[in-house]
Amino acid sequence: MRIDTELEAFFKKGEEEVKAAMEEAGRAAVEHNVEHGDYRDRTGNLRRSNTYEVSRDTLRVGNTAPYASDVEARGRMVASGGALLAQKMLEEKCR
Amino acid sequence: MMGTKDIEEVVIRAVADSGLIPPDSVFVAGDCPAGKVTEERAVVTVKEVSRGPIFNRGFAEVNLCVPDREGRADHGRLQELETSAVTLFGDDAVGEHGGTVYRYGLHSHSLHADADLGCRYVNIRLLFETLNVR
Repeated sequence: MRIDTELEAFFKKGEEEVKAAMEEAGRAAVEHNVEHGDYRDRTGNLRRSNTYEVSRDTLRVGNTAPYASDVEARGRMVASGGALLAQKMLEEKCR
Repeated sequence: MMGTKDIEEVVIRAVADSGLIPPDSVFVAGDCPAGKVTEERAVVTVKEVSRGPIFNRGFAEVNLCVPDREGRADHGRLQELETSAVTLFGDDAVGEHGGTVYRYGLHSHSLHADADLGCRYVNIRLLFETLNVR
C-alpha cells in the first residue's frame, strides 16, 4: 500500500472520530437542555426547539425559537447549560 | 472551589467598579426593587457551574437596564452602555478568590426589551472559568 494512501485513510478515520464525538456531545447537549431548561412551559415550543449542528470542525448548540435569546437573557437556562456540557465532553475526549 | 455566590461576588464587584452604573444600583437577580424600572440599574445572574477536567465553567449574565422615556427606548444611552461594556469586558480578566484562580470574559452581548418593567437592557454574557487543578 502506498504511504500517501495509508495517510489519507488515517486522517479520514480521525475526521470521522472527531465528527462522531461532536455528534455525541451535541445529542447530550440537547438532552440536557430539554431536561434542565428552567423556564415554565406554555406551548412547549421553546423546549422542543433545542438543537445542535455539526459541521466540519464545529459543533453549534442552540435553540431555534426566536425568543430563546430573550428567555436566556432574563436569567433562565435555555441552551447555555448544554453548550458547557458539550465543551466538557469534548475536552475529556481530547485528554 | 468557587461556587455561584463567589462568582456573583466577583462579577458584582467588577460591575460596581466599572463606572457603568452607580454601585448602589447593582443588584442580584431576584433582589431588585419591585415595580417598573425608573433609574438605570444592573442585574447580575449567575447560572449553573459545570465541572470540567481543568476548568469549572459557568455563565454570568449582566443586564444593564435603561428606563424607557415615554414608552420609547433611549437608544443613545443603550448604545453608549453596550459599547462601554463590550470594551470593558472584551479582554479576559484574571484573578484569585479564596485561593482559586479564575478568569472571565465576554461571551456575547445583545439588546432586549422588558415591557412589564418599562425598560430596555443590554445583556452582557460572561463566560466564567475557575481553575479546577492545583
